[in-house]
Amino acid sequence: MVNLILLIVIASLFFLVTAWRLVTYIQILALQGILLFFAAFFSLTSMHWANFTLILTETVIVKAVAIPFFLSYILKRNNITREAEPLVPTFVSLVLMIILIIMIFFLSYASGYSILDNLFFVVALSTIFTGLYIIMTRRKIITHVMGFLVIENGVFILSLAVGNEMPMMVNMGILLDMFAGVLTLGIFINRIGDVFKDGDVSNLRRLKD
Amino acid sequence: MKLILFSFAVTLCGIILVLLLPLRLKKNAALTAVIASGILNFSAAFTALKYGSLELVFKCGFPFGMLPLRIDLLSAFFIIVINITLITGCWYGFYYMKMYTSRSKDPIHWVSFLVLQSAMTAVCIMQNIIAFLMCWEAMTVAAFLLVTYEHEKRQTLRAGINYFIQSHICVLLLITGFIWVSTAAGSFDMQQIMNHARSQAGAPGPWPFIILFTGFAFKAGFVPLHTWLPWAHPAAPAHVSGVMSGVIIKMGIFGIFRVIPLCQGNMLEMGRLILILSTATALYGVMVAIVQHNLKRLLAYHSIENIGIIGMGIGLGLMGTGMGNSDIAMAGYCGALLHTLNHSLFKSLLFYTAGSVYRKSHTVIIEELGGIMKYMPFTAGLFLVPALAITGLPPLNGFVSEFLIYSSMYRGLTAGVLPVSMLMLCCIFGLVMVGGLAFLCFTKAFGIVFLGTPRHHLPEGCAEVENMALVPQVIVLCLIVCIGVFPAPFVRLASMPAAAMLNNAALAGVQAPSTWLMYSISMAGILLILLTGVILAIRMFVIRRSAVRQSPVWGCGYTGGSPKIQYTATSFVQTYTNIASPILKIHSEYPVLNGMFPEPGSFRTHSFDKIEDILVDSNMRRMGRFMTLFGFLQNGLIQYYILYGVLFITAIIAFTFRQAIFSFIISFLALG
Amino acid sequence: MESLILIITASLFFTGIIGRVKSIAAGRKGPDVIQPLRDILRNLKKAPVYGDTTGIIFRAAPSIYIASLITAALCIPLGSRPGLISFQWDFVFFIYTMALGKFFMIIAALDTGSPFEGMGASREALFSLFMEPALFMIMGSFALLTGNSSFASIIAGLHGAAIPAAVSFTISGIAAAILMLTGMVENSRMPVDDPRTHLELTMIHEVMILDNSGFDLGMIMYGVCLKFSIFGAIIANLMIKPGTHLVVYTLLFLAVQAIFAVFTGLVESFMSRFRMKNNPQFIYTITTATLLVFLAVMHVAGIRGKIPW
Repeated sequence: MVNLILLIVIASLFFLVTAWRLVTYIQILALQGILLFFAAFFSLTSMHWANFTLILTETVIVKAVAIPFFLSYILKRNNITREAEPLVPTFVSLVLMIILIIMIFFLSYASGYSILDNLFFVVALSTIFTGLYIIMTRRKIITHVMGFLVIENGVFILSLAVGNEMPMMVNMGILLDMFAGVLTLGIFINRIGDVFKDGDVSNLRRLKD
Repeated sequence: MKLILFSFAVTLCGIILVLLLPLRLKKNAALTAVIASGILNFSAAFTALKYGSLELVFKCGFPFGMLPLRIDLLSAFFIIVINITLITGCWYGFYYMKMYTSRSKDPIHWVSFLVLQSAMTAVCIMQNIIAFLMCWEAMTVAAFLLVTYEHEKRQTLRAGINYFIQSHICVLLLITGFIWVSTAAGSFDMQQIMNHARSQAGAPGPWPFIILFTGFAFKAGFVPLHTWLPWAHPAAPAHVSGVMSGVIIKMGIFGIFRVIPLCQGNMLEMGRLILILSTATALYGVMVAIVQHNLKRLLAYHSIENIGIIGMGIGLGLMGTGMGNSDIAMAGYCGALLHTLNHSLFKSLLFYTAGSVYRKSHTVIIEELGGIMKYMPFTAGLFLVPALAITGLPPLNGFVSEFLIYSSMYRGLTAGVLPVSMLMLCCIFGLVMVGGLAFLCFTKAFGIVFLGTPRHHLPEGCAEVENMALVPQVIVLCLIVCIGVFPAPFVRLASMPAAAMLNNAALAGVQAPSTWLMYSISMAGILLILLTGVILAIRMFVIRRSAVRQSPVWGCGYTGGSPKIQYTATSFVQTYTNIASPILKIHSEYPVLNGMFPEPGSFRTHSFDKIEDILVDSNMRRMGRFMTLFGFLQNGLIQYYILYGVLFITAIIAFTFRQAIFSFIISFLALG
Repeated sequence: MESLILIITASLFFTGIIGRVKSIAAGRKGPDVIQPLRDILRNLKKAPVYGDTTGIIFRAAPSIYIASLITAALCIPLGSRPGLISFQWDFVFFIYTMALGKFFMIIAALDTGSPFEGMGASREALFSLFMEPALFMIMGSFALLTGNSSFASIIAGLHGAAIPAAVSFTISGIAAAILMLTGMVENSRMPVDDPRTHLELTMIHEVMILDNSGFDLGMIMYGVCLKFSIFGAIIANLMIKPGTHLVVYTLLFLAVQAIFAVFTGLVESFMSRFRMKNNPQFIYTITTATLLVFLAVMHVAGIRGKIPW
């Protein structure tokens, strides 16, 4: 059951990479949140019930509801709808993503570590690298933040893999979530969008030494 | 021993007071604290000199272990040297800082001064290697903050950072050397390390000593590690330059003295090496000093020369110990230690007077000054006497220490071993040339700055500094004359640490330079002064009744006199510059004049330091050119930086699983 | 003390003998031997004229110069009788005291603010730079030869029994020759400087004292004589055997001084001045000739087995 959910997560990554509209990003993030809820539900079986409840509520509330809500609020407020032309064409992105996932798969297969459940490892690493890839190839700052949230999801998945033995790892993953949420809240509610009008990252280039 | 701890406590109170008091009173608090802790340090040092060494051991946990604080004779001597100059420096600085109208940087300046005093005293007494290095580091940082007082000037900041970087290379070498010897000896306590080195002669080999010597040489300013010195001294305010030149570079000398027992078994070779290096340092320093036209930079190069002379004394002492000849060794060490004291006195006084000149005339370029003696007679006198002393002329203190070093070299010459005799001859020749070159340099410096007529227009307020600012300078002057005319007690003072070092090196027949010799020098000096007085009296008697007239100089032949007909500093040393041009690096720029009619013209020369150019500047340029090849990596786009991160993560993962990946690829290829 | 009396006595006639020799070599009769003395006395009585730009240094310097020369003269022994100032390695004191006098003369010259004095001052400073090592090395070599350290003891041991007379007189002879040349350079005579002309191109010492007058000038002129005499005294010490009777010694001393003066006069008459540019090389050559003395000493000491090779 968990494996199926994880595979759906990978599928969501493909959609993420080929998305054009920012609303799509938010929808996929929400979807990933719900998927992670179910993944946590099915994999963290032998955990203390209080902790377990906490994790589940957090996953639903923060990942699936709160953060997508904030993000859509920001989009409406700042009138951002479309992502600008990414630096790498969509088709090439997709091909790169697929190659990446295959390489990670082979890597996990070759490393042969049995401590980590292999699929967890592959999915987590893929998600992390997808998040990094999104940051690398997109221009708008808000997309960078979304990429960071995707990385975060990946870390959460990895923590689920060892969640039964090390509940603290999962808690760390949740803290990371909280952090991202507060960060988004803080920066964007402070109306950085008003000052930083077009949100294009290339202006930051002028800060170079 | 407790006195030292009291002095630290006083300094701490001083720091707190400086930070808390209103702006007007900050200087007073700092001055009081410096004088108070200076007096406490003096008492502690004199107690140590009277009773042998004092010791106090703290038990700390990590990282020191046992923390012994020992004032042995060497520390006591250096504590005295340090505190004299720090007190006079702070006192003079009290008045010098009036030149600066903006006061916002004062608190940190005075706090750094107090920290410097404590750090230097602590360096002298800490016997635990780690504590020693920490105090050394504190001293470096405090000195850096003091030097970069005028940090709004770009040149000052660059000089300060240059100093900072080279000090840290010094610390790096010190850490390496000290860790080497402490692991060999198995303890952090310096005394145990030295005992260990003495007991197994030759066990550590020459390299720890060489590494430590190089580290301390950075600080002291031996050539070719001196390149920070001529930048840092002019950049700092005058009293800080005086303190730096007087005591901070002496800390390097102190360090060398401390680690001398490490070269047990190689004394003769190390001594030879140090002697040759020091002679080269002295010669190079004074040769480049002559062509400087910034007065403070000239004095900075002279510091290098005098460090060379002190190094010669140390080298001679080592050679004497190696040859088993206690006379050579004693005279060498004694001369080196006495010259440390003397140099701190006359060099700090020279810097203070240069600072007074700068304060009143707003320039330190020699070519623009002239005739300052008419405006500032006391300052001129206060410059003349240390100028005589630094050239080594009797009856002042420079003569006494140079005399001791000469006697050591002549004893080495007559000692009867051919290679040593030849080396001594070359070094005597070198020292004589150094004296002659210093003579040339200081006649130029004093003559052009203070005598004649002003070469450029001097600003309005150019008058003597206030009387209270002269007091610390006069104190130093009295000490200079005192040591010169009555050298006996001071030579005895300097011979005590020297004797202790030689006794530790198990040398037989160690005795201080004979007091009869010192009395003779006293007598000769006093005779000289008396004779001068007598002749001046005769002159005054004879001229009294005749009609003294004044008339323009060369009045019959030249009616259009102007200050421009005087010799400039560059022309004074022109012949020398031509002779010494292979060693110097002087750029002159002048526009080419063509056409028949007069045009505005100019001529500018600037002298650079050739060793700095070869060792530091050209290598930095090469490195810069090499690094610009990689400039494309820093393009400012955030996406690239994240790409670098991703590549790094991938590399790490691939490295961790490299075996598995290789086997997998091989099996994959074998299948296909 | 005796040496001081003898030196002063010799100095009174020294410059006169030089002048007389030069005149006779030029075919004239020339002035009296004590004429320079009369000039000095005349100057001592005159009222001085000081320049506008000069200060206290200019007024005090000649006195300090003479005082330093007299103190230096006190160091010189007379045969085996030490001078008033005698201690180990006192020749260092001797040389540096003379340098003290020179320092004040140079800065007094710069005090006038005139280009002539500046020129003389710069040349004087440079040439004394090259000249100084000579005496150091000679005395060092003799210290090595005799094993003693003060002026007096070196002289006493030089012609003593330990060293064969031929050897010691040869080495002393070479040293004396070098010292004669040194003396001539120090006093700015030919071939380094021409005291006859008063053109700035040829002067070192004469041009430094252009603006001195009266008592100061008299003292400086006497200082020149005294300096010559001092160098003559050192040469005499090197050449005459120390144990001789006082009267004989005095006569020999005066004879050596006279020979030195005659030699100087002859060189001045028959040699032309070197180009100013070549002077530093010439002076440096003299200094390095002292190396000959050192090598001679090394050789001798080696033969006698004193230095283990």
